[in-house]
Amino acid sequence: MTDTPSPAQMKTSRAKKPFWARISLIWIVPLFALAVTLYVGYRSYADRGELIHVDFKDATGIKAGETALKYREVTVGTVEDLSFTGNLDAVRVGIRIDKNIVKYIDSDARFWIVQPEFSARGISRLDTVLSGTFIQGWWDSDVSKKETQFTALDRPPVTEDPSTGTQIMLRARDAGGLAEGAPVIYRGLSVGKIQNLRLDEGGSGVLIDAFIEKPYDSRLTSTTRFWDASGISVNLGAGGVSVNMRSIASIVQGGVEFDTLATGGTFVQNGFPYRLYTDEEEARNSIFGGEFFEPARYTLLFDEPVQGIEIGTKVDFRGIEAGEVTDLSIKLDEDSMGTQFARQQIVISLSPERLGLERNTDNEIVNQFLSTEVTNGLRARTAGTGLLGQTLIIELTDVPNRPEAEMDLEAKPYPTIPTSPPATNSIAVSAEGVFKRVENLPVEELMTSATQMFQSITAIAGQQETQDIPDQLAGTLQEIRALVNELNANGAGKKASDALDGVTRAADSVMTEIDGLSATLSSTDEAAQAIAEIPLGEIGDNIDGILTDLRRMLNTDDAGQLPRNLSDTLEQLAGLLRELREGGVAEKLNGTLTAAQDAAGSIESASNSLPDLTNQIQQLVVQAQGLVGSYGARSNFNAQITDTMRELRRTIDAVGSLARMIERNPRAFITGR
Amino acid sequence: MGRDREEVTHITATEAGLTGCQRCGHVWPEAQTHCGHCGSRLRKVSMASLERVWALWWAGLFAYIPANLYPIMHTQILSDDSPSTIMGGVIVLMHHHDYGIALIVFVASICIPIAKFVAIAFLALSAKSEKPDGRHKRTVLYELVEFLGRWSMVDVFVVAILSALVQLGVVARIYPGPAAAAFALSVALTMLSAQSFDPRLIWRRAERRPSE
Amino acid sequence: MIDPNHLDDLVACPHCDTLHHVANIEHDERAECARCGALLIASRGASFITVVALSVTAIILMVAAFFFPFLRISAQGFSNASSVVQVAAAFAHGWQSLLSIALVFMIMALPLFRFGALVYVLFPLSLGRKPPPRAATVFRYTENMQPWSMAEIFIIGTGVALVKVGGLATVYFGPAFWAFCLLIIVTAFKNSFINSWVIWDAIGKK
Repeated sequence: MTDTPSPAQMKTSRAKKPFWARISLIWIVPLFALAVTLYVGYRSYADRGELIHVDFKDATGIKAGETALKYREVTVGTVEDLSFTGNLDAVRVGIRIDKNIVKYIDSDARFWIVQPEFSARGISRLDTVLSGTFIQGWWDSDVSKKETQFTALDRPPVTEDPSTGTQIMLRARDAGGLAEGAPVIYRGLSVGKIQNLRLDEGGSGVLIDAFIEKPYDSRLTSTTRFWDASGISVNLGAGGVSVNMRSIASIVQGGVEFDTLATGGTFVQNGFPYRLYTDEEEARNSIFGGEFFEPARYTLLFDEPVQGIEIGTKVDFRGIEAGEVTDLSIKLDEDSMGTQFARQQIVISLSPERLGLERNTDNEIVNQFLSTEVTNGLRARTAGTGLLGQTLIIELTDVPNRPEAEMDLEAKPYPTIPTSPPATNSIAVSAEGVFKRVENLPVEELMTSATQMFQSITAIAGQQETQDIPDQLAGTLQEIRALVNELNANGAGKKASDALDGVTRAADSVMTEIDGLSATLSSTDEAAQAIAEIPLGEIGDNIDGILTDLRRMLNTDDAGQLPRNLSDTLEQLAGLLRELREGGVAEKLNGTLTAAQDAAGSIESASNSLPDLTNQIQQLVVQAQGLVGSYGARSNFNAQITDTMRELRRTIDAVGSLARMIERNPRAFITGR
Repeated sequence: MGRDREEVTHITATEAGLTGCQRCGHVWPEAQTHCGHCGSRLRKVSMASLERVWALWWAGLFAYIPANLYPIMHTQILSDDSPSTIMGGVIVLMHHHDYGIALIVFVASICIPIAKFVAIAFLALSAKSEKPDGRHKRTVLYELVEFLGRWSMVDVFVVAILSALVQLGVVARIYPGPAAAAFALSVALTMLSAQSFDPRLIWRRAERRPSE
Repeated sequence: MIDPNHLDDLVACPHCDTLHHVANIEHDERAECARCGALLIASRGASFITVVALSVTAIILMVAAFFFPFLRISAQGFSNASSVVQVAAAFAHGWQSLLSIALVFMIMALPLFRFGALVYVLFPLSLGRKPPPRAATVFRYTENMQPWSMAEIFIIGTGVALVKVGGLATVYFGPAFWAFCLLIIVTAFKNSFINSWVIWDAIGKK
């Protein structure tokens, strides 16, 4: 076989079936499952949203995988991880944001933690005790360049949604009794709140952000004036006593009130600066408008000591009130010989309006105007005003026979206006002034009688008005009458001067009484009595009673473990109360708050099971409401307490109804499997 | 019993001097210890296997006691923690007039486990006698026990799912109690006990000469 | 009468020990024990390839079930989601962790292993090749594990749990839930297509 080669036989085998023919149709099933799975996987990957990072000072209550980011109370994201910034300064919270929302989160987005707050204004966000802390975000609907790194606000902003009102800025001399979050009050309604109290750049005042909610912000115009309405003000007036206490919150936290005094102002934009006056009277009477602008300031240097000038002393410009004293100090100077001498330095601020210029006139123009006036003889000096010149003011007026002087426009911190010695106080001038001033007395009754008295002195005693005036005042008037008689008879002289002293004394008493002149002394007595009758002690006792009850209740033995959230919150409450106590609130209130703090401590240490708590607190609220009701309908205090109690009860009801709902539906949970 | 009469005509593997593999059915000489086909250990038909059944049966029963005494699940609503045992759940349901569901829970979580214990005990005891009474019924019972045994684990799964799912902050939380583990253990032990039972014992008959 | 060297065509009923000759059965026929009536052999005409395909489907579904969201409930503004892994970890506190491990095995590891083993054993057979190495051992393990693989019981447990929670909270089903439901259906199909004796037979014909 091997020696004769022959053609080889082909090897044959069965043809392989084509690839597709070997594939069973059944493979469609796993392929389909794979396709669906991959699709679902892709979708959940594609829809998982984007990660942003927000830096928080601390991560109170934030848990990875649980804490929600909410926008308008709707969950739009979840915290994914927690880490620290490189220098451990802040907690960096990674938040996975819904895909369709992430495009709105640009540089204007703000984030803050929402947790229950216990404050003098009441309890807010109690819902987060149950639901847990969450992160609130706010951003506008504009789509601009995307950002992924943010820093959270330390505290919730004045308003989360700036479109729900108007934000303005208040500038005050000091923060007074105002606290963060204090209410803004308009005609007794709480229409907003203040926040972000801070020193201005120069440290010469305090800046406060205030937010006025819609629709009240439409009351804001350029003529609106703001004042500090903190605490209780007690006014004695013709109508008796009026105790003005805007709200419990305003006692503790302070409050800011505003009113629009004149029509015709223009509507204001966000960030409009207002001046915050220290009280309503000042606000209504001040020559500076409601709007805050940096007034023109000038320095006056007096060689001789000036007494009786204080911050707030009026500055007259040719007889018209045009400004006020804003600062007093001593300035050391050296004369040409090198000896030091001290001069009194008084800083005044002037309202351009009162100088005859536009209200917002630039300070440069005011300087030029005054500079010209000074060249023409305008000087600053002290002058007496009031009935007999015993109240000092600063006067900007033309002084004859003055030495030449110019304004020093380069002086620091403010340009100086040259001064001249006080106006000469000659008897004739004084007497003339006395008559003028008496004529100008603002109180009508006195003015009428005084004018008439000077016109026809003998007739005065017979007049009805005079007889109505109380004895004390009648005596004064008699002295005045004697004085004027002598003046008329003898002209000027030493006698007159002696008599003037008497008038001065009398006038002093007139000045002190002048505000209440229209009120009779008896009504003042009534007023004083009415104050004495306010049952402050009783109120205090009753509050103490409530707190004792609360404490007893919380100390009961069947205490379970309250959720950690609640105890955190209570810790906060305790902190707040501590702050309040340190904050110099009135003593009586202070004592009450100490008791409240004790109560909060008790809540922390021992706590009851919540449904039980609900019932007991409800009873307590009913009891407290009854108590408050017994104080009658007249005081604001009453309404405020009732509101607070109602609020508290509503919250408790909400918690209770949830608990009941679950208890009614036992099937879902209790079946013991 | 018509079928029982037929049995005389059949020969069993044991009678033929062989051992059948219970996994794949192949038969091997008695001397062989492992099935040459599937590798399973060959078990001879022997009363000795009942020992294992009983041991596991008792273990399962012991585990079943704490499973009923301890709470199987804690339901915490607000701060109110209410532990519930299996029987306690049934009673609460009765109080709320959910008789239908109470019955279902009672049957599924109490009757069936107890019935399983009874059934296995009955099979093991009756296997000792060689009487052919109700052999078919006993076989059916055995299959039923084998089949139903695993399904008792559903209770454990329900507790697990509820515990994982109902975690609504402080409002409502469910977490498992110690009885869940005891119950799972009891179910596992009864399953093993049932698996140890050799059904061929039911069909065992008095010694016959091999190859008759 | 019985030749010890020709035992291959004999089968003992695992329930009553009765010896049978292996019946040559056609498609869609079943062979029962003559004495106790237990099912011995069933052939439903499905090829191994069908079983392999269904097993692959089941594996895909299981992977989906593990990694996708399973269930979410929400009530009164509170909500909570859970994956299958979290369900298994429900007992993961202290000594109860042992139960969590058991749960992982019962609802995840064992079913996955069983499907994988089926693919491993049957895929070569379905292509007409030799059984893979140690096929008998692997298949024996899957058979032993069968009672402990409880994916279908788990899904029933889910149903029971949902009935309980349903009255109180709104329940949202995640993809994992649907994957599990499909898994049960696929498993049922697979079981109906195959009888273990057939596989043993195939493995035996080396």
